Amino acid sequence: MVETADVVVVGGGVNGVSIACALAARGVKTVLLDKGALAGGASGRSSALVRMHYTNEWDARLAWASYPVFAEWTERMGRPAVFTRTGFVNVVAPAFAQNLARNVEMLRGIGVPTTVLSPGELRALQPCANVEDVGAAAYEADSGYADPAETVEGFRRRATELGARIRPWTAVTGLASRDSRVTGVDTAAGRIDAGAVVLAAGAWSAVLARGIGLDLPMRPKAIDTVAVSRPPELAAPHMVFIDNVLGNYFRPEAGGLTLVGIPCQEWDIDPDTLGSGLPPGAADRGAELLTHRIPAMERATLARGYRAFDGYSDDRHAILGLVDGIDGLYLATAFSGSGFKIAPAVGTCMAELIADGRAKTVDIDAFNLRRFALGRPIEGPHPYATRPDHLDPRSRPAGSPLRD
Amino acid sequence: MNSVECVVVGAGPAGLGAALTAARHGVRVLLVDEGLDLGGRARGRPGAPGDPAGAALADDVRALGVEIRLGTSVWGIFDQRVVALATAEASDRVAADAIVLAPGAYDRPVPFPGWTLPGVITAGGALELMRVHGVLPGRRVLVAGSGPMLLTVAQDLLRGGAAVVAVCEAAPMRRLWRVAPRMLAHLDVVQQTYRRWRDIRDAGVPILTGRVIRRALGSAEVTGAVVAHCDERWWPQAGEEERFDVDAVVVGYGLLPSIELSRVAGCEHRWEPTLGGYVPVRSRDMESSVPGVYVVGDGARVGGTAAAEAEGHVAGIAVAHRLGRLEERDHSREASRARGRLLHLSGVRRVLGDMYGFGAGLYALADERTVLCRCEEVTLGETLHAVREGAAHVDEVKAWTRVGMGRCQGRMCGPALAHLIAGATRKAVTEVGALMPRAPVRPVPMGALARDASVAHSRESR
Repeated sequence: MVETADVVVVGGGVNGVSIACALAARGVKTVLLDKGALAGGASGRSSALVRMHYTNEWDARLAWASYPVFAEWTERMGRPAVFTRTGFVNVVAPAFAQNLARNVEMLRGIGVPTTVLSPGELRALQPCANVEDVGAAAYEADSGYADPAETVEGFRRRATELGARIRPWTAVTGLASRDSRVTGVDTAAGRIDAGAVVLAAGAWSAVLARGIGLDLPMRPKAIDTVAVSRPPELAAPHMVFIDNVLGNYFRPEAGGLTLVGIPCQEWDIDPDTLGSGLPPGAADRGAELLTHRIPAMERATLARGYRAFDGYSDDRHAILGLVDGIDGLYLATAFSGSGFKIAPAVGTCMAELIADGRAKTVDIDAFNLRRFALGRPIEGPHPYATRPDHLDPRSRPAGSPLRD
Repeated sequence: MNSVECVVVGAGPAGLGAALTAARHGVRVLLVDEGLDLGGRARGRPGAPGDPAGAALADDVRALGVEIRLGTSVWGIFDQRVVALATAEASDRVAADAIVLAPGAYDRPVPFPGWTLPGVITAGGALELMRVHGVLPGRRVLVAGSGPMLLTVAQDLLRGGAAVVAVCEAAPMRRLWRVAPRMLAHLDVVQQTYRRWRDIRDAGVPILTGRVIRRALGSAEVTGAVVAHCDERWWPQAGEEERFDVDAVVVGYGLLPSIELSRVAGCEHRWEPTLGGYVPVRSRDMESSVPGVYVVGDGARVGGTAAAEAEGHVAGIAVAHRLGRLEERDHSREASRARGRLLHLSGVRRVLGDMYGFGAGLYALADERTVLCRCEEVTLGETLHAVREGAAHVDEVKAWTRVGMGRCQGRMCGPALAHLIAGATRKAVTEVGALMPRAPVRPVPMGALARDASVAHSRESR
């Protein structure tokens, strides 16, 4: 007998389980499938920054709508807290100080408590930081980071309690379609017929979409991270830093560790065979960037390093929503290394879109796939230097894929 | 990046043997070890470089002009044969035509109630304390475990003036009669072991066979220990327990190869049931599945000092041949002689393996409150809870509980974890996966790395 569901969610990362949870909460009969363990892709090795600072209003609104879920996790989910509040700064070079002020204004406009710091103010707040090349910093006192595994686990439990069927180790071998309509999925264990399918398979999404002739403008890319043990003089946790001057980020982790993101430009990797070890040189680069911003990290020790991956879209922003010309298929993918902090709102918005035909918590129209065909990539009016992590040295500059 | 013909990692008997043989054939060798002296962890043990024969081996290696870097750790191997090195001050990468890994072995970590109490120490740790640092682990000591190493530890304890309350050997006495005929080919080993056994017995120490440690007692430190009868597979039997008042417990249930580097290098590994662990797959020349990467000594298959050195020689010959320093004919003659010696020594290893072969019952000792992962302080109960909730793979349990995410990268909890998940899910150990170590396999100073990066940049810009 063929199994049926209202909605099948393909992919058990943080966005997949959040969507399944929001659907189940509305009484939608939901099945979530993942080829491996939950959070086995980008989510499990995410640094899970929780911050609102973006240069575009759409992402900022999703992040702001998600924030209370992280901050009030115990009250809402009845599980141990997942959020650690550390404070957050986004630092930029002097040339972008003006843009930063505009973005802070935009963020305050949508309700985010954030201020601009001068280099001197940043130094007063984080005496360990080297601010000589910093023009300004955007400060969010309430931001921090989340525990990715516990977040996914919380969503999974809640979704299960609400009646969703969550099935890890069940690979979707293909999307089933008939006359430009997606009708379900094929798995190793058989067909599941569904009224709608949500493709939330991260780095694996493009391959599944190609199976029904849909070419998604996204590519899988590696993400490199190291964990360092801070020296005794930096024992107290520092804030979460996005360092736009140097193009990386770092944040504290339990146990006196600091996680450091290292720009990585390894595109078109195969997520099934990619090793989880760092390439040579990555650790050195991470050390160079970190010790420049926090000189006392010279006395830190590299404790471990790992390579993750995610699907990156052509404008390095998520693809959310329906696909023109294909019924029954919803996309929630290509989060481009930045999908964790917006997952709670993405879940709510996708459930609203599927059940009511329109997302009302946050307007997610801008994230629709059609933006690429229309030449309307997501880009705020006041950008910073392109993050080196977003560059592909062998192709056109990122962020302007359709304008030249 | 600097390059060298052959990097030998580890200056114990196996690494020294490989460095010596390769260098004798004209291979340019870089020998690296974390320690501050040649000899590795075997230093101070009979037949090892601490005693006259071993010291001679180290002297020979020095005399051949082998480049030696001590106090230096290897924290990664990249692109098949690029070796990442670090000292407290500097980091460096060396490209090699051949790598010989001789990382040695470590005491099998066995989680049981009380195993994290101060005063509970491994057999290897106890030997190092006594022989390298001249410190006794305690005044009243229980020695529990399996294999001839227990007798070595007990003898050292007695010589140092400690009281040994008992030696508890997990293997049943009757196994001895089964392997006895084959031991006749290795009378030297038999005699040595018998003499130790007799000395200990004559000192009035009870030597109990078919017993395992059940739990260590105490709150701030160990004050007592309980042992139980066990069956052939080391499963503790209910009801038959004995209690000893002690201030130290030495635990030695065999050694596990340190496979972090061969894992990081991408070498294929296989499950070895008699060991209860993974070992690198090797050709008869000691070459791993990665061309030009050789693994020798206890780091590949625990076999003791003599076998380790002999494996080093076999690999050294293979490296010389690989680099064109040995004619085909000379190579086959030398290689077969070296393998012949090894074959004889492996005989002892096989017999000892049959006598003291690992029993999976060992991993049934922990209870729900026992800490499994010491780095992240994850208990067995938390781990099993994740399994009951549906986690069926080592990586899933790791993601949920943080077990194995700490500094040791699962060296301590990994072997037990796989057995426990397999037991709880009724799967084979090989089906639940293994914790995969990644570079850095040793902590590296960030200052050293940052300086290395700036040096690399200035080189590029020139």
